[in-house]
Amino acid sequence: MADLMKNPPEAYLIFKEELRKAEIEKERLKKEYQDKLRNMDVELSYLKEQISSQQQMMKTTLNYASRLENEINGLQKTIEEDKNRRKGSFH
Amino acid sequence: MKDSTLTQLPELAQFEDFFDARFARVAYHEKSGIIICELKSEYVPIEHFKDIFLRISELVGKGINQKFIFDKRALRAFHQPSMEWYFIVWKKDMYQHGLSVHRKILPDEPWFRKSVEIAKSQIIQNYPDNIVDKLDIRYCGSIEEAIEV
Repeated sequence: MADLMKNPPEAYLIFKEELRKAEIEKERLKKEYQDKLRNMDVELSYLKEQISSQQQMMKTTLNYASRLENEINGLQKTIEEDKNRRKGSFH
Repeated sequence: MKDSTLTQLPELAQFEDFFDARFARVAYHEKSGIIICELKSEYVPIEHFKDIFLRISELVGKGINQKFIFDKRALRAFHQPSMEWYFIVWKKDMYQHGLSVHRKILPDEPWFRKSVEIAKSQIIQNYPDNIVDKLDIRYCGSIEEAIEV
């Protein structure tokens, strides 16, 4: 038994080496996965920012269009009132 | 007699890369003092946007300050705070370093162009101390045109 402890069988040593390699590979994969996850989080935050900016752009443009619509309506009303006033002045 | 190399406009191929990163490529032509900044992404996060422009400031600080060409054709989202900073802070700083000629290339989409126009007029309205009237700003269709005009 003591002899076995001193000189473990070759199969055991190979197994131990394979185990060590597997541990290193596991760590590498874990790190790679964590890096990918971190990058994905960053990309996702950029995408969220982009969507929010596009929404803001739409909001600004729609506000502008609404203001323009109000101004056109106001102008049309003024033109109508002016027309009616002119008509009234002839009769 | 005028030095012909100073008056001759450079070809695009004569520009030297200053940096080429994920969000932008910046090139310059020392003799003519022209800088080209081409955005490469649909959206540029503000921290990267500022970083790009602060790096461009280095070139302007070195005297490459005759014309700045900003190619925004890749953009699909206009980030108001970034543009405010670019318009109000960066352009003002650069003006103090002698840069007053700006050429811009916008994406073809009319809705984008309109949004830019609206946002710009808002910025001008919100910041009455802007220097827009001191700058020579023109919109162009291509980098070649921007180099020429």
